[in-house]
Amino acid sequence: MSAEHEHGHDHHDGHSHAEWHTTPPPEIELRIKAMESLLVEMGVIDPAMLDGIVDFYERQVGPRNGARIVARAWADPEFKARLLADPQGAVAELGMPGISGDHVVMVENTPATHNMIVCTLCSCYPWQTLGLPPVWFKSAAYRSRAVSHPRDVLREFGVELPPETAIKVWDSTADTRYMILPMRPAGTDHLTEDQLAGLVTRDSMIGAGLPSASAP
Amino acid sequence: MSSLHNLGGMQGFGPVWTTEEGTAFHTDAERRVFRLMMGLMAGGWCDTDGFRAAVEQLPAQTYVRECFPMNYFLGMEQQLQERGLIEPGDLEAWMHGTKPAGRPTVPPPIMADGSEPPEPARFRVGDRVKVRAFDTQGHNRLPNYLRGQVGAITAERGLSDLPDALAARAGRKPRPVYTVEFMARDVWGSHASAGDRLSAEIFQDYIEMAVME
Repeated sequence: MSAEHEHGHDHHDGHSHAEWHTTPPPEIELRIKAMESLLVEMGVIDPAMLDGIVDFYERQVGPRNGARIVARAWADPEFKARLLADPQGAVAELGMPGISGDHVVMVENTPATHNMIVCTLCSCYPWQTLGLPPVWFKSAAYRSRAVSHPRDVLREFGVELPPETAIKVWDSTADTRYMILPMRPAGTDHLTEDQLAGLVTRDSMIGAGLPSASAP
Repeated sequence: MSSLHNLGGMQGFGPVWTTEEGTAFHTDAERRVFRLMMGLMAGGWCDTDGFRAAVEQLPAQTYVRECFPMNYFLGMEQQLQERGLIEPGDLEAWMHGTKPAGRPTVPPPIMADGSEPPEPARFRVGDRVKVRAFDTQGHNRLPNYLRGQVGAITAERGLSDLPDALAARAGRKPRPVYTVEFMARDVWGSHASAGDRLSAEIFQDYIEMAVME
């Protein structure tokens, strides 16, 4: 880990941050590969099954699923009511992979309250609706200050909330997984549900961002 | 006692940064370690609480490098050593073509079967509760910044096995879990905005009824 201690990447370049936090030192990289091949050789893991799992998380779940849920809730008030009351049941209506397992709770943003999710202890995240957590969600920079300085953190994400909007931060410390239902942007009455889904950013469903204001 | 993972309310890690949407994995190592974890969890060789405890016990100077696949790999390796599947030196030997012999083919039990009976719920929505300042040396799921704080229960979340006991291999102890809400100013002082709030899931073991002043 010697030379790699230089954490000298540009704080505005998400790409290099992501690379830094996911690139092990060479000796660890070798051990990872050795562990993998040894466990296959010992019959402990089945590569074909693992490929299927990786494919599921790379292609079938992710923030676009969450965006479809949010867009439907914006377009259909009855769906929204069902979604807030019973997320598992409502999501099943959309024909996407089920969200069994951890208990998912939808939290609605309002003009009075902006909600944010964090896991200060590790990286708990609503995998079923948003996919795997982004690297920054696991970072000490986010986990340390999301609870103590949420307005500063939001500002660093480029979000400035009105002072009259209260912030509520949800620390995911047990088995409940939270997903934010962001507010529908003004001036979007004419958009289709697909166009609405295009406005829903990943970060807006974590509470670290807002939906885009106009169709991409 | 606490480890570096218990990060809420610390400072000095710099401003937040973000990543583009649409990439589940950024490097081959990240994908490989995820695959391994999924396989070992599915096969019963690793478990969530033991894995979290192992990562939390990494040396602080390793943890703080924040190389997530490295930390997860080291936690996983620690678990496999505890289960007797991998021993120190195995990977080096395997890199030279020698496969370890005499290892278990199915994961040995982590702890005795069965479970304690569920603990009855002692609190209800609306109760004012105080987070206990209990001394714990091992794994737990209590954020440090909430120790000693008083909040209100806003939801009952059913039963979960106490993670402290699971990680210590002390058996299944189903306990009520509550969502507890705190005023940010109570926790952080006057720099917090007046209406801001914090919410966390808290095991019944970690709280007691708050005494009204």
